[in-house]
Amino acid sequence: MSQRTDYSLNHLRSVSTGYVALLIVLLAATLLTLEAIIQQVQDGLVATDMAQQGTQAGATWGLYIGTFEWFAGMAVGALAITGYIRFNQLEQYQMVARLSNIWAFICGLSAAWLIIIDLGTPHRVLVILTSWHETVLHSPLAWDVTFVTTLMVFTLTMLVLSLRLDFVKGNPSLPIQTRILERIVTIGATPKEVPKLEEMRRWLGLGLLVLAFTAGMIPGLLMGVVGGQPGYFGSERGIVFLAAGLLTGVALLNLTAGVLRSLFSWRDALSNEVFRGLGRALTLFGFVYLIVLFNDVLPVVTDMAPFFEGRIGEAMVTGSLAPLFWLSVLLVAVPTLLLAVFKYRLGVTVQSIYAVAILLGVWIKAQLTVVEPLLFPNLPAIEGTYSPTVVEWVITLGAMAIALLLFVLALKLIPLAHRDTEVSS
Amino acid sequence: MTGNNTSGLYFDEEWESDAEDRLSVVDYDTELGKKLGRDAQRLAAGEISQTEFHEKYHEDVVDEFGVDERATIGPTPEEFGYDTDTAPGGDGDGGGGPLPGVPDDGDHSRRSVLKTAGVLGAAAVGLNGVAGAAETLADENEDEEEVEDLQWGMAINQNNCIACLNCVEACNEENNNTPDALWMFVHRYVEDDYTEDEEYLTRPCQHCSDAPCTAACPVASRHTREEDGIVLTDYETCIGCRYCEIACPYGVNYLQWATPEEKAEFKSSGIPLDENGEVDEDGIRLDSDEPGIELDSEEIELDSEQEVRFDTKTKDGVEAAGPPDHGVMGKCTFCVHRQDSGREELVGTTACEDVCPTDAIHFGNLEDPESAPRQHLDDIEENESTFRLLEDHGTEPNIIYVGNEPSADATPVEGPRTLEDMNRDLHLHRTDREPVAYPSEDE
Amino acid sequence: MVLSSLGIVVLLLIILMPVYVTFGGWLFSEPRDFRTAGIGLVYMGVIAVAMIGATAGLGVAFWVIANLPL
Repeated sequence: MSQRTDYSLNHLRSVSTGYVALLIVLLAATLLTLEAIIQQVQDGLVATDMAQQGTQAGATWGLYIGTFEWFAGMAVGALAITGYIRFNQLEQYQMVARLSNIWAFICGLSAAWLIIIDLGTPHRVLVILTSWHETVLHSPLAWDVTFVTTLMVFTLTMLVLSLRLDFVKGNPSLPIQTRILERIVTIGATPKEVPKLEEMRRWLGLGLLVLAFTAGMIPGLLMGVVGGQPGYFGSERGIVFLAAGLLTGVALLNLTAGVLRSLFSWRDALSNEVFRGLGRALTLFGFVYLIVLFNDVLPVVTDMAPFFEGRIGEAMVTGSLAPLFWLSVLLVAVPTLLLAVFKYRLGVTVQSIYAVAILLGVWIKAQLTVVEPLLFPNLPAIEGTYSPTVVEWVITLGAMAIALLLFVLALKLIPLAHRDTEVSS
Repeated sequence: MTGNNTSGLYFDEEWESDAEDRLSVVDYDTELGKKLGRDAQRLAAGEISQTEFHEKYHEDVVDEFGVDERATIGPTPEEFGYDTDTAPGGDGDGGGGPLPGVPDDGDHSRRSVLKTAGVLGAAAVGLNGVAGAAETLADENEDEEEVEDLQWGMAINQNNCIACLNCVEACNEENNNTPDALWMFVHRYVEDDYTEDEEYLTRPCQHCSDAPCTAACPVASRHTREEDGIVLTDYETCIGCRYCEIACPYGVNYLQWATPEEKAEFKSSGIPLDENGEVDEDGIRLDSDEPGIELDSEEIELDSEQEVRFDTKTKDGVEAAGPPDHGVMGKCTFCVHRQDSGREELVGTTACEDVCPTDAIHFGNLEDPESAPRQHLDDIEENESTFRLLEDHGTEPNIIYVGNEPSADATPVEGPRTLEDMNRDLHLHRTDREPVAYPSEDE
Repeated sequence: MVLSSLGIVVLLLIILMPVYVTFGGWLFSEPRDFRTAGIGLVYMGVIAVAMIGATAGLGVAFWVIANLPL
């Protein structure tokens, strides 16, 4: 364990060999992803393994939509954390609020472009906006776009507003790129507006919380539109989405804070107390997720379940997809139980590893949720198969790499917490 | 009234030749048709009585059509259930009365009989003179649409279906679809382990009145045409998100995963024309050599004015007919290019219906009691059950099936598309796709 | 259509709720300072326009990619 250090703005300046190496790897991954995107956009979705359900024996949606849901959920979880901290003005967690704020935007952005890449004609994405006024009332995708756009606008506004407040309150020497950022977010700012800005940040925090709340209210209604698809319909859809989102959001913050603390030894901004709080949240949302998951899946394997739902449930619990399903359950359940038993005695590193397991577990389940119902058609047609192509894997994993790249770049641009004066470590 | 004598009758040389032209389109005796038409006009003019008219032609009609449904003795046309006001050439149009009609006999489709009736009915009316005689049943349906609703739909008799897949092939040919896009499909399944009986389900798009695909569409590309209830996709705005497919419980949507190769052909030449611009009366290419289909040997020359080129645009200018573009969703359009072609012999027909050798598919206006589907449903035996597919989904489908609905746990069995067919189509553009298999019988 | 009228309610009452809460709080919370609140609204508006503009830009980018002679 390294010595206790205070937060400094050093992360904006220092460029370590490790950072450069990570940057090169992520940039290479990004280029590879771009290549895959170009290939898919030129060839069309034939570059994927998605096919019509039923007579083409495929799944209509695949990795992109599953990963979209994972990112969108994570964005909701992260923005809820930001909103909660900002609304309750928990200054102790201000770095967590900033980190989750950055992640909420990046996750929203990743979700957004994954939807577009899943379109058969991605160049027509603007049509969604031009016909929005007549479709938002009943189309799930129009609502998705509305929600993700709102999410990005709100999180970016929160970032701008909270940075403005930080910059107005104190003005340590900043590197050039952050100085430019400061110029942009402090247009017309005066020290007099600090109390108002604090109040506005608080209200925007409440707005973010409400946004997370509404995110859990809508999917149930919207999925009613696609009621024809067994496994997609149900009153618990919003709860499932929100539970997974909150868990992954907290897990992502646990992981990020854990890695940053071990890299920079920020024992004040990311104190043990902060990690206990994050660990408690991870345990709580882990259990909530598991309860929701079992309520979502187990009833459909009973004899009383509607036939189509039952068939999907069976395939998941005991059938062909059982290994993936139970792996996803274990990846969440084991860390959650260990956290509940040992609490934070296992340390920040172990907690970060748990977070990785949970993120992976929820991601696997997100894929199953999307793909599995599509493999079983309503009419007596053949059961489908889906084995994502290399292009799909590259774009999906590339979306994660690009999200990480954006975060790593943001670390060199955005101060993670407020400092009145610079403290060198 | 353009008649050239006081009684309003109109059968001069011009009438003769036109009647011959008109009647040459249908399969039946031209001379009989002309006689019927002439006397029908006399009937309309009050020169002969209805009974006289019926008795005069009863034998000939039975010989030609197999049966004479005209009320000769006994019930009046109205009692017989024939609404003379809405019937083609009925009282609403100035008289005429019931016309020859026959139940489906396997050789001649009801539609062609009704067409004959339509031609004769119009002749009998004489309302528009020779031009009026050109009116067919289909056109008159369109006229009625002003006062009545039009909802295209089908009655599909599963008891007649032999899973020959002619409808599937005709659909793909008509719409220039790739073989993996099965806008029309025939499911083959068994109900349980105790019976070996294989059953079929013929599945076009159900053109639901409350279509979930239209609600799910984020760009209002999938839409229901108000005037005739056809559910269409605007190929120019569809973003290929496939939400319609997710929302549809019937699995009728097919994305154009790869670039379609023959779209241009659909646009330029049109479906019903062969190299010489010749079609039979149902718009079937005369060079078609589909097994099991009897095509009329009579050929008609179409002059350049009549030559209607099928366009991928509907009459409203929406790009929605034929195969979809790359990345765009397609599905059965109820052959909207036919409905919008303005050609009487094509309106009210679909490619699948035309080629069905067992007369299982009946396409027409479900709001019209005289339409082919409604007539077929009237004609079925009392013990035959009817259903609308997955009706509890609340989609209000416009396909009415005769037969038994497949139960939830009906097991698909190989065929009528073989596994080889299926895998060949699946690997058409994607050689890496896993081969598929039907559920094994051990399970 | 029932779904549409329900959709209007959902849109106005639920989806826009975060906007009401935020704008209401900014404008009417103490201390009253319409200048700062106004600047906040302008920032938010600019960001919203930028997001929608970026979506349009993405569409153009995908069109270009789809038509690249590769």
